[in-house]
Amino acid sequence: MSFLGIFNKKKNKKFAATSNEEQFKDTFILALVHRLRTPLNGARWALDSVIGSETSEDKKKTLNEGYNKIIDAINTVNEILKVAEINSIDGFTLRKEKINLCLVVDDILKCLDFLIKKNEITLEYDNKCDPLTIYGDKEVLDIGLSNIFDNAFRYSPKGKVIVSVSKEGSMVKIVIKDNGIGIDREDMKHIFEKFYRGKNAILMDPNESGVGLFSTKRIIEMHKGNISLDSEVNKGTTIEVRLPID
Amino acid sequence: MANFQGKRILLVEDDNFLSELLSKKLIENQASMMRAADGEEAIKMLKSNPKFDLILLDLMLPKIGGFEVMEAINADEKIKGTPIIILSNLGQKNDIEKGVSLGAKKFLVKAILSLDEIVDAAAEIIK
Repeated sequence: MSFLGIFNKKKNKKFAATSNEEQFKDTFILALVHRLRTPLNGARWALDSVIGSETSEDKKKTLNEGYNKIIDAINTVNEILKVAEINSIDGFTLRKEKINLCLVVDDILKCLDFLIKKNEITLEYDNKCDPLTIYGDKEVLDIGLSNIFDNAFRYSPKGKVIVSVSKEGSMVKIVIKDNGIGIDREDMKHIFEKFYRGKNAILMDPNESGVGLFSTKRIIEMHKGNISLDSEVNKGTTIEVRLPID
Repeated sequence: MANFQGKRILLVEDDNFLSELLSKKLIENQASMMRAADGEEAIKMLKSNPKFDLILLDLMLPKIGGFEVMEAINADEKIKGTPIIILSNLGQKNDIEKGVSLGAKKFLVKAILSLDEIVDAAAEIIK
């Protein structure tokens, strides 16, 4: 189905009685992302079929590289979609349940193990923390918190990341401290804005989307929590997240 | 490798390229395949053929959408209960919830899965 077809279906369904520009924009992004997934999907499956068949090792290596590039593009598209979903007032409702934040952090670290290894990160984390239960949407919080961890590991190559999860009054406090490239003062003012990226982050990796921390802040706030950030260029970044205990 | 020997699968997908690739993969796994390119054709095939063992159903389809196809299946006693896996590049929570409420066994986002992973998911449903 064409992009315009998808866009009109979504638009008519959701915003029949409104012309709110923000909602219109998010619906546009949703339709665009869905449309982008289809050709990427085709390219992925096409390579999938060829890689699986008999072919020379040289060709297989090249095809695998192409395949990984497509997976990168799909992941970026998924990330943008998630932000548009979270930003879409009508389209997103939290599915809350009791969750142990320590286990959420454990899961995220397992998922990002490839990045920890790739960037030779020294991780300090005491995973024997007491169960700290909050009432939240595990899948959504996972996305929000993963962005912070991903940034810490991505922008601290061969560095150190210290993670702690503790109780602070009626809140659970998660601290992620790295000694990476840091963020300059001017960039810090805008770092939670949609599509904003710090100058040194762009220099290090120009291909990221800049939606991560924007959606993280929104997710934390949807859970009635807060997030703060302190950073210094070439010294590192510390992010603190607080979420209310159930 | 899954074995779909003797199993009949209907693939409803409007993108011919995706349909061919997935269909080929399922045939490699001995499935007996039929393909529909829109919702209207899918409903016709469902009503005019013996019951399928599995339907792989896209959502954004020409003529009649995937959710409407599911409603038509649920309204027809002869084909009601045919296992359905939604295979879409949509995937917002409200899409998933709607799909599950209409009886989908699984909701898979095509772009994030390899062909083998889809075959595995199908094998889970038609053991």
